[in-house]
Amino acid sequence: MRILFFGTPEYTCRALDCLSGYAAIAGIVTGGDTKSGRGQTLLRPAPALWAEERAIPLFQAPNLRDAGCIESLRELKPDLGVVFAYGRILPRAIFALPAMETINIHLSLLPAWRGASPVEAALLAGARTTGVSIQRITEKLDAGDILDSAEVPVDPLDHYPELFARLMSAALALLPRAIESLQAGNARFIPQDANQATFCVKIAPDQRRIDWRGSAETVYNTIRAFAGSRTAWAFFRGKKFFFHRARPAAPDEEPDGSAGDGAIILCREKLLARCGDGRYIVPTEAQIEGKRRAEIAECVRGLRPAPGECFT
Amino acid sequence: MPRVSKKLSIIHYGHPSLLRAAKPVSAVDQEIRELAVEMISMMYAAPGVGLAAPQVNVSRHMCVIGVDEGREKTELVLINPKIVSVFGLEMVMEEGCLSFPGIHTHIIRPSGVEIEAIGLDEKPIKLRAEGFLARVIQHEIDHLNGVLFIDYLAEQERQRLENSLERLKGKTIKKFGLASVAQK
Repeated sequence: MRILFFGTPEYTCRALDCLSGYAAIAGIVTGGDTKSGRGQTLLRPAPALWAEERAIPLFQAPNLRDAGCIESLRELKPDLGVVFAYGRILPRAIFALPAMETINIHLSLLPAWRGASPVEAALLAGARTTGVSIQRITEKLDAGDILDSAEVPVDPLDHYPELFARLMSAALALLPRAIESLQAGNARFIPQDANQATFCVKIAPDQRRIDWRGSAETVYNTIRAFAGSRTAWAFFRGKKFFFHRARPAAPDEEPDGSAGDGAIILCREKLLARCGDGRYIVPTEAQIEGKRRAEIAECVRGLRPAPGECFT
Repeated sequence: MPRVSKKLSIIHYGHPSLLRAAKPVSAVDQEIRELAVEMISMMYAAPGVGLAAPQVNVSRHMCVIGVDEGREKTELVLINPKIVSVFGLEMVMEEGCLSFPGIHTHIIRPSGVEIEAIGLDEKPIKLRAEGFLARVIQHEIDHLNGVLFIDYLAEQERQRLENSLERLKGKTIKKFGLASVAQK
């Protein structure tokens, strides 16, 4: 079987490693170079390097509506398309090109959280389980029939990196089975129940700002959903304060009495921040704008928040 | 007094006993009760969340389970357990095994399981479990049938673990003096 692969982030190479154990990778389509770091040096997508190392035909940021491009992809004679975080919607002329199917790895249990941020959505919703689906690509986003899916538990303490790692492992456990069923010709696609569909969109920057009027659970879920790279943040003394990790406060560590939303309570080197429902969250790793990420004790020593100060 | 003659220890991958189906328990007698108590303490000492008799090289269809899910703690002795049905979606979870020290991998199994067994008090147990507990129960009942978690691996993941597995097997054969019985 010949696979035409569409993927852009570095982690998609793990799917390539996996797929190449079962089938030939006929070609790789990936996104454009991105600017990175202070020097704004151009960074090539990892799948591009993966392709070059193995002398596999590479299509970087092609115009997928261009007739010439479609023709060159057709010449690869792909049997199967596999799309994993490519970052763009494929036109029909492309996803209908492989002889069998074009399938997509989606990191939720479809029809839940169709869209661009399923992992964040699961954490924001405080879900106890989510999952991985392998679906057929159709014109309607994430609405294709399901070839295979599996549930993945969400630990209440999971932040994005842990949940993402678990979902990746699940996807890689599921993928061989999907490929084998397609190769054996006994793949069964099951339609999604469209009435159950929920949606998630690309994360907008203002979604990362913490709203201290929300409940402690909401604030905590916001922090865990965005942990890892561009984290949830709030203003403190006019500077951005980034929350890398946190936990909900246990009832016996929460102070009595009233305080405003976002109020900071210090307890030795522990910091508690009050949320809209009167409950608290305990940030454990944070970062002050312009500084490096640190344990909260270090941030507290540096900032010395005074009684009555608040995150806003 | 009944015999718990030999000191029990957990056997590792490479030991042929792990591949054999265990004998059914015909009566919950003193031997079985002592075995259960011993297995429970070995499981917690390991530390582990489940232990099946074949893992301590005793061919009895029984296993012990000790799962702590925060609010809920479950400790079970399951004698002659069998899976009546599975339900729910398939779930991927990372599994390890006391007979496979250092080896962890993601396994797909049903998320829920309904079982029947006999308890130490000889009363029948009917249990519907989901999530982590269901996972442990399935893993342990597999042991009683000579099935190991690595039997579920896709070809490529199996290959990835091949070296670690071979190393473990070699160590086990040496440790238990199995050179003479080393099979395939």
